[in-house]
Amino acid sequence: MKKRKKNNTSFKETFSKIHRIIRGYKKSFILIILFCILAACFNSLAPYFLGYATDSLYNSISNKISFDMPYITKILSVVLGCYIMDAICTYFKSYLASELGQKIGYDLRRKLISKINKIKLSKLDTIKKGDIISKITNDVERLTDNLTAIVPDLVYNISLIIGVVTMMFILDVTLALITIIVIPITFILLAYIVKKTQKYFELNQKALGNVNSFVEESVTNNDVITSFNEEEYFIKKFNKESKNLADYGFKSSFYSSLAVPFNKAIGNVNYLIIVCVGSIRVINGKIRLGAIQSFIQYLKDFNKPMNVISQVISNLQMAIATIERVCEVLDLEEEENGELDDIVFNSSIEFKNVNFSYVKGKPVLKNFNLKINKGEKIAIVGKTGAGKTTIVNLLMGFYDNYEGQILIDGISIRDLDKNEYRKLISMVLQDTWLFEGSIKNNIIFDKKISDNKLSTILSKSKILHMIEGLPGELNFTINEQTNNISMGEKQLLTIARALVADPQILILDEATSNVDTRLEYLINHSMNTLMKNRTSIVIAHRLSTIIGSDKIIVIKNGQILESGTHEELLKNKGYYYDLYTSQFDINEEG
Amino acid sequence: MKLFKLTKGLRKYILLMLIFSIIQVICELYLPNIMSDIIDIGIVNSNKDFIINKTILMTIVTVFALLSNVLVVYSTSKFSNYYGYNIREALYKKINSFSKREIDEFGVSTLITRSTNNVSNITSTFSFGLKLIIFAPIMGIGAAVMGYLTAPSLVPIVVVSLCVLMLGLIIIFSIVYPKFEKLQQLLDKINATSREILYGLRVIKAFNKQDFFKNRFDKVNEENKKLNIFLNKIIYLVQPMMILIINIATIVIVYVSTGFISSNELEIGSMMAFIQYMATVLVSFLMLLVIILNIPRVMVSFKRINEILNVKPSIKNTGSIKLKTLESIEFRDVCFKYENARNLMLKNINFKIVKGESIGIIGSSGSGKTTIVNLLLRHIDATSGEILINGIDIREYDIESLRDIFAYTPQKSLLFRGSIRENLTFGNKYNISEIDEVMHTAAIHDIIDNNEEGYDYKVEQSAVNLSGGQKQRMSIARALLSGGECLLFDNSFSAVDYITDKRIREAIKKEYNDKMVILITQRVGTIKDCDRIIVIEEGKIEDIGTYEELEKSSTIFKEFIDSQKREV
Repeated sequence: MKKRKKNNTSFKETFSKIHRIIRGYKKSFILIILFCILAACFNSLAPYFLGYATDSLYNSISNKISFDMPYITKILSVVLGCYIMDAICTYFKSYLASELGQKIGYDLRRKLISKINKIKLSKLDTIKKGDIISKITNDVERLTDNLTAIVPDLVYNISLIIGVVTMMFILDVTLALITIIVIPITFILLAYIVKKTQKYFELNQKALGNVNSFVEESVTNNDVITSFNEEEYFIKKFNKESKNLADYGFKSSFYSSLAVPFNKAIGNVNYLIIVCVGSIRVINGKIRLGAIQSFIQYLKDFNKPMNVISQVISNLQMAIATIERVCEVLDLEEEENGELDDIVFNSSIEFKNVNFSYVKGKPVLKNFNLKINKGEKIAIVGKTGAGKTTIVNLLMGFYDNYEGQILIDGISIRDLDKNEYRKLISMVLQDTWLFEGSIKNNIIFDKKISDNKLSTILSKSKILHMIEGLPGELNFTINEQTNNISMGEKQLLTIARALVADPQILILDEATSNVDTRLEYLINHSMNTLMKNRTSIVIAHRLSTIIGSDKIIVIKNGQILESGTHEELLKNKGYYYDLYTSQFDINEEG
Repeated sequence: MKLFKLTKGLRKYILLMLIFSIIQVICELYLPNIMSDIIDIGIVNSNKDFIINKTILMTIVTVFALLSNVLVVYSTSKFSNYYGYNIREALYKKINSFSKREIDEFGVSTLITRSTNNVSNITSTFSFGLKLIIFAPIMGIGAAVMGYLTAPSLVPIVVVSLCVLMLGLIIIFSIVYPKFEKLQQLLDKINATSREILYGLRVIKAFNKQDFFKNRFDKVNEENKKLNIFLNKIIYLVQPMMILIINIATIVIVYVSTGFISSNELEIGSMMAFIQYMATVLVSFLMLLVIILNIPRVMVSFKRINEILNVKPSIKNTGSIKLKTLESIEFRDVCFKYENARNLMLKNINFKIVKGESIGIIGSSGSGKTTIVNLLLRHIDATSGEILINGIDIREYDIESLRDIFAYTPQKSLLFRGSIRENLTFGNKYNISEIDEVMHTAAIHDIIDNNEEGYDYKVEQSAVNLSGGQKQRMSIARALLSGGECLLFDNSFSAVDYITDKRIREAIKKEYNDKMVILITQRVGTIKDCDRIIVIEEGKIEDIGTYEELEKSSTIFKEFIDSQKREV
């Protein structure tokens, strides 16, 4: 009993998931269903009429008279009409259904992408990206194909069965009863197969996602695999994932396609009973011979839908497995957004008693307090893992599961509309992310700005000089792998982004660590221009970048160890002093 | 051809399919024949015993048909899914043998879709198509023969219908076929644009450009939808057209048969059987057609997979000498130019390093430092000039033994999803003390100390749960553990703070003083203690010397020192 109940709720959940994906397409569905029913009607009427032609022939032979050609011709034209209508309706149901499938697929991909745009970064960092990409491409593709087939196939074939059964009863009740006994047998069989295979379909899709992630990782890390001669090891690991996929693929396809032979066999048994019993009934004078012919034709029409329905059910299983996977993404937690969108920054940013951890029990920031006044240049230093980048993540609102408060002009950033709030800030990160497209697009995104104006902004730094060295200059296209420009150039482009965005608050997180010191020295001037009249937060290893700051904050183990200007901190002879002298050592000693 | 070879070990399933398909066809074709007898002999003569006997025969035939069918389904599923496995294995091996150049040429996302999406496509098409492609012709031919035996005079009608059908199909095909490849490209594009968003989300959010990227994605998404709808509009003509032709043929047969029946050339039972045979012929044709419609799609998948399998890697392991010890490395007039690049990346590079020496290579970003590393590891080959290891050309060596000589830390610290242990050992056996030692040397042992899971601590995909510095130090530890006569660091300290940088270098100097060390960097301090320093600028060697010598002689080196001194 308990198990049953669980099944029911999961069915309900599945149903609501399906509903969620197909809602909004009521009209198309109704139209498709209409065409399906029409096609089924015409299809089931034709054999009925055709049987009369056979009867007429049989009677003429039995009574040894010549054929009634005008009557036969009339019947055959009616049958022809039915067939033509059937063909037209069939085309429209298939076409409309495929169009619907495509539209749903298109919408789903849109939804997935806009979901990803809203997703909490804390969530995104923990999930396999290859798997999500596979969901956006492969799963949606599969779902589209399945949806295209499922609805019309199901409706058409059910209508056809109803039409055919009706016609059978009109022809001969005994034979009709013999035929429909098959329905429950078939459904028991199908239900059993469905139960057996659903699990394998899910496992199959999951295995596909795993293979996807694995290939992605191997391709991006190809350098390491080959340099360490570890091809064999990775092939072995890959084969394990791939074997899983093959095994589940085999199980799901074998079990689900078992339905077809069994259905066919049931159909054949049905056929032979009809022929046997029907023939005896003809001898006994209970029915016409033409009726048997119609019956045999109907049997084919009756059998085929049963086959198709079993196919549909296996498709449906696949579709449900896909929908579940897609919904996993759609159900990911979204970034919470405040409502205040009239945001001003006039006085200060403040961290008030902030506690934060990525993983429970491993605090990264401990009772952290920091106040940054407007126009100040703050530098944050500390060892790797001390929590510097975390401060940025929290300030940007990427993570909001922290205790305490982060206030801008005294208002908690939790209450703000994050998109509006982020317009105040620009960041330049160590991780230089670029996308396929022109240099210009990479810098300005979709901002409306003339080439001249852009050049003026960029000419203030060394960036324009670098761009002018590339073929096509601002229109130089960065390829999909973003590897046709160097790391240093990439870094310069991300700095250019911030220049163009012209924000009130600037965050530089190891922004120049990919630029060599000589180049850094050359662009420091423009970095300073960038920071002028702005509130800026700089995280850096290179002390050169931070020496001129209004305040230097030294962080250790998620807490502020000391703070002050460069001179003050040196005087203190604390941790900063150690850090400073170690670098000094390297450069000056010897 | 290569793809055919991959069916090795699975061909027995094809044989099974063939045998049991034939049995199934014979059984199924026999059924209408028995029925025709029942009507023409049993009913006409009112012989009930005859009818019952024939029915028992039909039952036996049906059971055989079922058994054969199940076996066909079994072998099809086996064949297609394990064929997919073989293809994936071949692809993966091939991709692993690629050098940077080949990977760049293809692009990451297409390599992924090709080894998952395209293979799945082949598998699923085969699981339903293979059965049909074997079954349908046998069934069709069998039915045609039976039809001919039953009523030869009606055959021309079937021939005409088939011709009409063929004509229609050829027209439809010629419209649809060229578009399928475009469809695949669009799918790659969908993959690429969604990748972009997933990996850049932090920046996208920071610049508030969600809409821009949504629109970028949407453009591809929309194009994909439109092309699909266009293709479906045509493809879905096939099935109704097909059925209409069968039905019209049936009507024509009934109409024409009246003449034959009245002249006693044909019996009604034979006409009914013929209609069934004709339907079977045309349905077999329809089945073939369903597969044929899928052929373009599968061919595109095959083609795309073949493109990968047929790549001749630009780096060939032609050498046979096993490199065991390292005495010297020498670059003689080495030039390198990337294909399609305007300028030489490296120009006439000359230097020699001997065992026990430590060499620093310094230069601005883009000056060609990493190219030297790639040449040493033979990820690329020199355009001209020679690289000599122990006095012998680098290409003479077995590539695996060559790469084993280097303990390499790449510029980008690439880690794998899995435990810390797996990331360090790649499944090879090491003593825990050895692992501990390198972790200490690379100043990353704290990650083990601070986590309850220790070496089983899971690194996530793209190592998102480690910081840049941690990744770099893990990468150093991995290199040290792998062993090798030459420690090769490509900008491996950039994300490590100065104190740790110094600590690691001191530890390495202590533990590995007999090894050759090549340190590539932008930090002057990192290479201060090196025996010699090579200064590279725009692909040329500016100067070689010790720190003290270069401080005086090299203007570029001085600029480096000055720029970094300004930090003080």
